[in-house]
Amino acid sequence: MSFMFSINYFIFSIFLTLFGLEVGIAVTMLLEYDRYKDKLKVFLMPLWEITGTFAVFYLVNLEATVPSLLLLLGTIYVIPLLVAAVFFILRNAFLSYSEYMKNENSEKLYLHIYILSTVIIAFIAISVLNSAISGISVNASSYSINLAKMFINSFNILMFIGIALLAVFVASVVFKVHEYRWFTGVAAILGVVSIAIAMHAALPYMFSNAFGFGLLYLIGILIILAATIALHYYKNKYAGYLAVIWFILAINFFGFIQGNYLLGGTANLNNYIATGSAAFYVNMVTLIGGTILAVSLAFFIYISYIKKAPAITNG
Amino acid sequence: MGFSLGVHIILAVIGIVLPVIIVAAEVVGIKRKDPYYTRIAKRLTTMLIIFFAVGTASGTLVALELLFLWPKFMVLVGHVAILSLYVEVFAFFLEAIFLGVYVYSWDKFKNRYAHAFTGVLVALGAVLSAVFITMLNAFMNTPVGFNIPEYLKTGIIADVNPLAVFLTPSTLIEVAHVVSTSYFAGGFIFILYFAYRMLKSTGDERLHYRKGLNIAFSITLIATFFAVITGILSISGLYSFQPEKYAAMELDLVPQTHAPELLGGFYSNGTIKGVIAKIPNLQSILATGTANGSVPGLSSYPVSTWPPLIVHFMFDTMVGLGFGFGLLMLLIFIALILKMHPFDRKWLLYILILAGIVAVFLLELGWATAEIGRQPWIVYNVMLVSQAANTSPGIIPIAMFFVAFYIVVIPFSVLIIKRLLRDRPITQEKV
Repeated sequence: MSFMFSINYFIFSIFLTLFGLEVGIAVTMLLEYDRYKDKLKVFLMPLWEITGTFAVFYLVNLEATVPSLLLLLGTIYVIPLLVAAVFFILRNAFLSYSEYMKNENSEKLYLHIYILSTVIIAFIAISVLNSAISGISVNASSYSINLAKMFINSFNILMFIGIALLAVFVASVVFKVHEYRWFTGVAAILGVVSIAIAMHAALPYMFSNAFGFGLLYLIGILIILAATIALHYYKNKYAGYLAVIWFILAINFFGFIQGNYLLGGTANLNNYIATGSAAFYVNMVTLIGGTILAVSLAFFIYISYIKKAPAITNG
Repeated sequence: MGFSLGVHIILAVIGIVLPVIIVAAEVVGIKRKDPYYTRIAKRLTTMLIIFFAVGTASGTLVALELLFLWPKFMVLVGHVAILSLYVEVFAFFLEAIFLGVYVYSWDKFKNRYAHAFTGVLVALGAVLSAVFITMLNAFMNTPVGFNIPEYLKTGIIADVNPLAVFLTPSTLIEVAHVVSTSYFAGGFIFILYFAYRMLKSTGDERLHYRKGLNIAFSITLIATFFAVITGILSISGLYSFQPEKYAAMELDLVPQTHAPELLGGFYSNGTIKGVIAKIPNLQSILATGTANGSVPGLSSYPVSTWPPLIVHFMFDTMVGLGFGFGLLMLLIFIALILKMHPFDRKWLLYILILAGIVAVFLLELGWATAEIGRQPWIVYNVMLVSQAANTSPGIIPIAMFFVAFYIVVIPFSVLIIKRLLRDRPITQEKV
């Protein structure tokens, strides 16, 4: 991958990490609504705007970096993308409605609509990503897709299960859900196993770079995962930070296995990446704008999750 | 697409003006140690969150629509004008990040001005989004930044200058007009809200809305002034850069000097009928600065590229209402200076409610006039709407879905806001 595409992919990893955390929160709330609703809402409320905005950001980012590829992918995946858009609307609307709702029944109903929408968006997003990487169910030459096959194939189902388990694990570590630390540790291991089986099943479809440096990378992230599980088990305060770093690195691993190729090796990204002066300025905007956003995001995380409220608030 | 954009711009102007009203209320509240203003800021924040949530979803739909409904146009944008769109998402992101900080961290800043400053960044992100999106629209009106003759001849996009999109000939005036009219229309939506609530409340609650009206009115007054000035300058811009559109709006059939300003009138069988009044020389003076200045006429262009001439009626209505609003604001301002307490008069509150509705109509009318006036072009003199559109029948259900989204979600959101605010009495609001 080119340097700039690697930067873009890294930004994408941060987005998926935040969205993964949100999915983890959603699933945890679904399982233990009464016990964790208040605790997790504190984390969820500042987060949802960021993950929601990231979706639009990435759409335009692709338009800027790979305009003709976006047209190809947009045409192929128009139906799942629109269905995801419906649930995106429901997610945004019902979460914001629930925020100041005093009536507990209404709040519960709205939050459950939000949770369901988020999980469905995650499923569609993972299915589209898996299909775009592997090319399973896609006929790129005729711009067509077999939707049933896209959603229901062993690679996709196992990947979704694996990612969902890992999202629950990371959310539990970050948000200190200690009561289930045995369960979440096992969930992480099962998640990795599930993804490994999925990858193996899809090897004929993948343009795989998972060997050589990729293999070293893989071993590295597995070691970090083991360390995260151990820190979580011993309730170490740094477990959450390590979990987030691990999640970003794990998502980046897909950059390695994907290499320059999409749609199972039929689409070479180098043929689609914008070139010339437009590409130069797009890269500059990505670097400068990305730096501003990274600083702002760090400030946001500090204020929202780390800084405590002072005892006296009158200035 | 027209329907989506028509609704989206209402959400957009709310998103642009609301952070300004909130921050202004918070700062005044801190400065005067007035809990009413702090309450206004806190309660409006509830609205901001919901409008932001729905606005983000709506913005995503518009982005998807652009991709699916206008593929050829987006390819051109992707190669020539993408920077404006790309920088816009960074501005939008900035808005989202600081919105998160502003809304959920009221109690985390020891210095309350520091908290208000994060609101300023929200307002800045919102207005910058509008600025960069308008730059793309300016590119559609006055395309630059690539070899247009080569593109028209061969379809090849060559000699691209990606920075040109930031400074097309019409950018400056278009941005100034869009920003000022956004504050104007958005401001009037909140004038409507506060005026309506004043009529429905008494005592302390009424005072709360009265102070909200003060803030909304102050912002809208400034915006109205700039909206009128930039509106007049926009016409001169059209005269220079889109003469066909100008001629259609002014209903000039032939080029002429000493051109009068026509009030009313419509085109029928090659002649103009139904003119209400003609103001001698005014059009030439406004467009060129001199009475004997020459203005363009439609006869200089093929009939096939004339915009629909209903734009003249739309333009007249827009200008008439714009000046009406200017006059209304001026009169209220004078009454305030003379300490006549205009907002304590019920009849004025009714007028303000009506004005709020008309302001939204005016916003839509202004946008429609600008867009219909560019027809049949999507990119002026470069790409026709018919060339850019996806005409596949499969697109119809998608379009229907977009319409359904707005019909269901927007009214439901307004109802929820109403319920949320009703469940939180003003007097019990923590400050």
